[in-house]
Amino acid sequence: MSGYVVGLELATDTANPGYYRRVVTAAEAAGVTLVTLSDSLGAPTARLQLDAVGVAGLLAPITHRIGLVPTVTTTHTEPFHLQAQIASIDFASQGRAGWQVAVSSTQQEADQVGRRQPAAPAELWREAGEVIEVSRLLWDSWEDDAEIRDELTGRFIDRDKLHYVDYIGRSFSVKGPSIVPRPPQGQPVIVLELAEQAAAAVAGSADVLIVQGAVQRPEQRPAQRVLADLGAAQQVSPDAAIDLHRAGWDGIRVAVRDAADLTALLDRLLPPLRAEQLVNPRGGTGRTLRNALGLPRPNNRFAAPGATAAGPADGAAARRVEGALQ
Amino acid sequence: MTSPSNRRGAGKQQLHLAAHFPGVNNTTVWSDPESRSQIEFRSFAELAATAERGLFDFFFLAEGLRLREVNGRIHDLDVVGRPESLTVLSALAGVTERLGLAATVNATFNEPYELAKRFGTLDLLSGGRAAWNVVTSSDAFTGENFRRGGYLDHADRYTRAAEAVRAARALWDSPADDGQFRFTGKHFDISGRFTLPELPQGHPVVIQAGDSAQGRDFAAAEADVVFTRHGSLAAGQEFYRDLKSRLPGHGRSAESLKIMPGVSVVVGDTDAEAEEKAAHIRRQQVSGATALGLAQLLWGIDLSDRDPDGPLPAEDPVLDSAVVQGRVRPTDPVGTVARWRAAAAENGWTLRETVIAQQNRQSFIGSPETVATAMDEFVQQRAADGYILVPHLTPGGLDDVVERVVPVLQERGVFRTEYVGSTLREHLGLPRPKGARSSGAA
Ligand SMILES: Cc1cc2nc3c(=O)[nH]c(=O)nc-3n(C[C@H](O)[C@H](O)[C@H](O)COP(=O)(O)O)c2cc1C
Repeated sequence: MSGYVVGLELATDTANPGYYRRVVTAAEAAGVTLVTLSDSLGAPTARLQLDAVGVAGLLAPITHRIGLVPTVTTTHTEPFHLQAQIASIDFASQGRAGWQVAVSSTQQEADQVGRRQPAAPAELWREAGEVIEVSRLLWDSWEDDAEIRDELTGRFIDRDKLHYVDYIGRSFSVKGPSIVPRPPQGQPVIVLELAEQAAAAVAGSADVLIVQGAVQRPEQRPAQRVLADLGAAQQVSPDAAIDLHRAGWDGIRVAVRDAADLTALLDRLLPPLRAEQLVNPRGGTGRTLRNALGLPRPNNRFAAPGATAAGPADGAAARRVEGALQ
Repeated sequence: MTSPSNRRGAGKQQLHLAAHFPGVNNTTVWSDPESRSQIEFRSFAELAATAERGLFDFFFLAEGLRLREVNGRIHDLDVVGRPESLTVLSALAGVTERLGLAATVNATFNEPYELAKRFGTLDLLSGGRAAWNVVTSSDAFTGENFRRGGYLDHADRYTRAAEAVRAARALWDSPADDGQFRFTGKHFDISGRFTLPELPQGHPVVIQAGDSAQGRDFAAAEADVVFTRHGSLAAGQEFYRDLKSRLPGHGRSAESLKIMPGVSVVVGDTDAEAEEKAAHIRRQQVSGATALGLAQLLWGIDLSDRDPDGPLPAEDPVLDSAVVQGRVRPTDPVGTVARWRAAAAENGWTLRETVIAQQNRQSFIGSPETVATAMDEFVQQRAADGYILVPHLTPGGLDDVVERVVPVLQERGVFRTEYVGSTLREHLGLPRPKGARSSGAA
């Protein structure tokens, strides 16, 4: 069973990897469900910012329960690389990867990459929707049981279980298949912060929505979770978090920007949530981020319906995850 | 403090060693009972742990950005499917201490800002152990997976790669206080603010792999390490001389560029046992289906209906062929086919036997003593500065080298007995880059 989701937004002006290790392992031990790692090409506030995918990679083998969700922009990046990076975190963490979708709209970001001019938010989020779609296709471009190691015929893979995605978007196209096999979760978790209005255009394709403040819960698909973004941990009272649970929210996200935030999270906010049994730091070793969120492992959209309904595909993937845990 | 082994090795060239994670080609044997997953993180962690136990300089990951095809269908005979290099190495940074971490990343399908940030991040996460193998392979086939699409012609690929490296260095050298940078060249015109502090190595180590004249010039101008394909002692010496002689023209010393051929090693209790093992591995590497596939690569025509246990194809090779995609063709198909035909006629070989005999001869085969002697000799005779070892098994393929050959090299005083430095540059004996914004450069 999934509990109340406590997300942690790690946004700090540091390039010290030890800081990330300390904060995230402490948060994991205290029952935090997932950490979103801020990153932007422009880094308008922070002087120092590490690549969030790299930080998630670092954390993958040294953590065991917490979801790792780097922020990656879709504006100046290659969709093919992006999905491969997230799938690779999923392998390194045995199924705990997510991706927080972002766009880059400033002139500074455009100048740093030097490929294209800034565009309006509506256009950038439309493209983000395409990048989400092609990422999901590429994660499915290998069926779970594509690797066969068949000595009789000398075949390592059954190539009928690898699929071209042949995606043609407005600003890019991708042939596929991915260079990475289907990741342990099938589909890593896509997180969307509804921070600007234009982002709502892609809300339907995210697995987790994060809403600023706790004003109004947006429309929610069945297999979708909605978290309230409550700002700096120091400013969040445990009662507010518990009230949101009663009001039907799936969880909260709080930001840790400095030591005082971390203390507030660990010593003030989480103990009452544990006492109410909303979070359980012991639960969930070896489970995937999808498990922790109560989200099913999706069927592969390329697989024959009969095959997935009967379950062999999921079974093979489950075995792979189990194997990785031994 | 001089240990006996150091005295024994006095005045001798020291070897550098790297571990290549098994690749997606038929060198990697997947049918062996000991072959494990090519994709689970545990395989990467185990091979890296073996390399670190052996005090290797670095761990190396190759890259391919489109799955190979034969006759328009995905190639299914070899190991395939691997994680994105930099992400895996970031994960390994957390579970290793001293081992260098080298990622192959294409300079055509990536932009300098992202490259500088991602490699810089790896350098910070690992405390100065990052290396970038700058490859240039690019074709319309691979381009179909990317925004930029298309491809660059050969000359442009290397000017872009050299510029990408210089641009990344401009970012790594940006002022520590505000990170402001600007780089203008033929391929890139970028400016802004870099968000990383001074890197532990100043600049991550740059590796180059590519053999053409442009490739060699690029290596002489920009690279710290060259990854070559192995030849004979004489061919190695010729390459070594050629490349090192280009360095003074770039104001560089001979020691500032390390030449490391990719080699595979088979160790046995005796030389005869090792030869037997090696022959067995070659048969595993070249199944009948694989023999046809490799012949197809050479001939450039569809051979799927031929019998691998029959004669060589009677046709002449086709020079401009698209039968095989995503893989480098042998450089001289006509000459190679002629050599294969002569060898087959002389020995009465079938196609598969010919392919086995001509392909993938492991470089060093023998007892630990024999292998160590040969590895040492190539280095003392200036055919190499060390080796990138390519195992045929995941992840246990270097166990023998680490357990049995490394001790002999140490005994001879030509390989370290402990890590002295903490950064990859220190392991390789490379100077800290002059342009780096560090106080340490002074
Ligand atoms: C030993 C060696 C290893 C290479 N490894 C890779 C690789 O992992 N990924 C890749 O895309 N290209 C790889 N290449 C290809 C080179 O980057 C280059 O594109 C190719 O050799 C053609 O360049 P050239 O004409 O200078 O030889 C490798 C080349 C060599 C010689």
